[in-house]
Amino acid sequence: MSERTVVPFGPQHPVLPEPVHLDLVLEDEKVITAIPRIGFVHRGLEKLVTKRDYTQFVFITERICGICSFGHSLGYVQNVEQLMGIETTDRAEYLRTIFHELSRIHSHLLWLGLMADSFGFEALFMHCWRLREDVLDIFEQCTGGRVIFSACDVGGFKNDVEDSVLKGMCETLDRIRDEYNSIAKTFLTDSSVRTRLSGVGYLTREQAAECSMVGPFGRASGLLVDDRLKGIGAYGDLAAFEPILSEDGDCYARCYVRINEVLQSMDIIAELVDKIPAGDVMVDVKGAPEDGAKAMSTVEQPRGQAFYYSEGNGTKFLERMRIRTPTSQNLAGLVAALGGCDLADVPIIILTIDPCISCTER
Amino acid sequence: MKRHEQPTFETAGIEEILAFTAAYKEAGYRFVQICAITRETGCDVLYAFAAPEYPYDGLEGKMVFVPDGMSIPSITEFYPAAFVFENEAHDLFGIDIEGISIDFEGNFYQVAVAYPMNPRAAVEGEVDAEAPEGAEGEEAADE
Repeated sequence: MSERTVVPFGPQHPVLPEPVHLDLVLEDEKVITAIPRIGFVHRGLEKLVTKRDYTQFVFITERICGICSFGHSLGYVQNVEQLMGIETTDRAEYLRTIFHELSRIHSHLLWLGLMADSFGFEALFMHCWRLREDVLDIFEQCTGGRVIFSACDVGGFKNDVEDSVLKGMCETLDRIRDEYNSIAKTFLTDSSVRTRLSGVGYLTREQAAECSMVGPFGRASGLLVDDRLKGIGAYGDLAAFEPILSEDGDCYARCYVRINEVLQSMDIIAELVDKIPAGDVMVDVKGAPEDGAKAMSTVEQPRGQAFYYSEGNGTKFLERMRIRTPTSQNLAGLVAALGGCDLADVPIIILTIDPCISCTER
Repeated sequence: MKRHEQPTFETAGIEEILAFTAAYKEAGYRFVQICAITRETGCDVLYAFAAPEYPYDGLEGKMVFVPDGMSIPSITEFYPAAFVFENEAHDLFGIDIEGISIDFEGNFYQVAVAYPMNPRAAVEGEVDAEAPEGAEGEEAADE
């Protein structure tokens, strides 16, 4: 047996936008096992429920992460609405779903850019991020903010978006779609990309299920995990929804799933803009969660399922707010994917789970 | 339009943790998370699972009360992904969990105050810090 060495990876590394550490136990160039360590930037945001009431806490949840900011505020308000038995309006549900899917597009475009950058395809990286700017422009036009835009609130959607603006949003997405298709073609057919990603970090469907993987990371191994299938909110009004799956289970498959999810999100937005009902976007919210009331819910964020649990105590301050993010759930899958890989493939494999450490370190 | 899930909450004893986890695993349920909630004389630990097939009505939660000073068994033998949440419950709430597959022994989060989410367990400046098994270079290299 070859001698084993331990190579520390991170917390600072060119491929990591945020700090996470891995102890890689190697035999020659092969990774035998990887032990992740986080906690470098833990912020203790869950404890802030003792200092901020349930209406103020929306602003905390959307600052958990800059990329899935809207998803966190959506997950939080849905959870508190379940806790208090509030039903918002249909139009608010549609707007929430439209903006959630827009967030998925911008998150996946950001990830595709980072992925291209990681294997040195700088032109592709620039094009992905250029298209992402157009999505951020839509956010700015509708809400005034580009990344954190405080659009969700307990009881509905803060400000209505006019139908003409929504139509303009679809026109922008149609324009983006043409350019995006050429980028997607490069990702999926370019031989240098395919050679770098195919067969790397392979996980079977059984391994994915064993590790309870979520999001595109799980779906790329053929695991049917997509909480949009629950049909909560406007997702239930879609004519059809089929999650994008791949059976290949490697880094290329994770790329394939995310690339196609961008197009799927564009279709969902177009359908919902067509169907969106007229009406108010906010209902009155009064009182506080009852003492002992409990709520538990999930939201399918761009990186996968996020979980929310809240508990009331009869005051405006929640007794407990729990947020479990997709990256926390995917750490076991990451360890499994790294087992047996080459040292040179470690950065690519880490990137394909789309790690969000600020989410994990909420 | 369906607006909310309909989760279920049930209580269970410490001695039932492994049994209900094994039953969920056997039935193909997906593991969702573990979290702790501070109470007056201990902590509640909430285990959440999701049905294997969509669409399902809601998540299933098992709430286990852990009195101060008691330990609970790890469920990582059934669901490896639980190691993150069990280490978190230990580091932030001071819950003693036995048999975690990757046990950081208090080093998962670099906290300045031990067990900051549990006022009874929190002791400023006292953080039990031993390196996790296999995480230190020399130790792992010797294995």
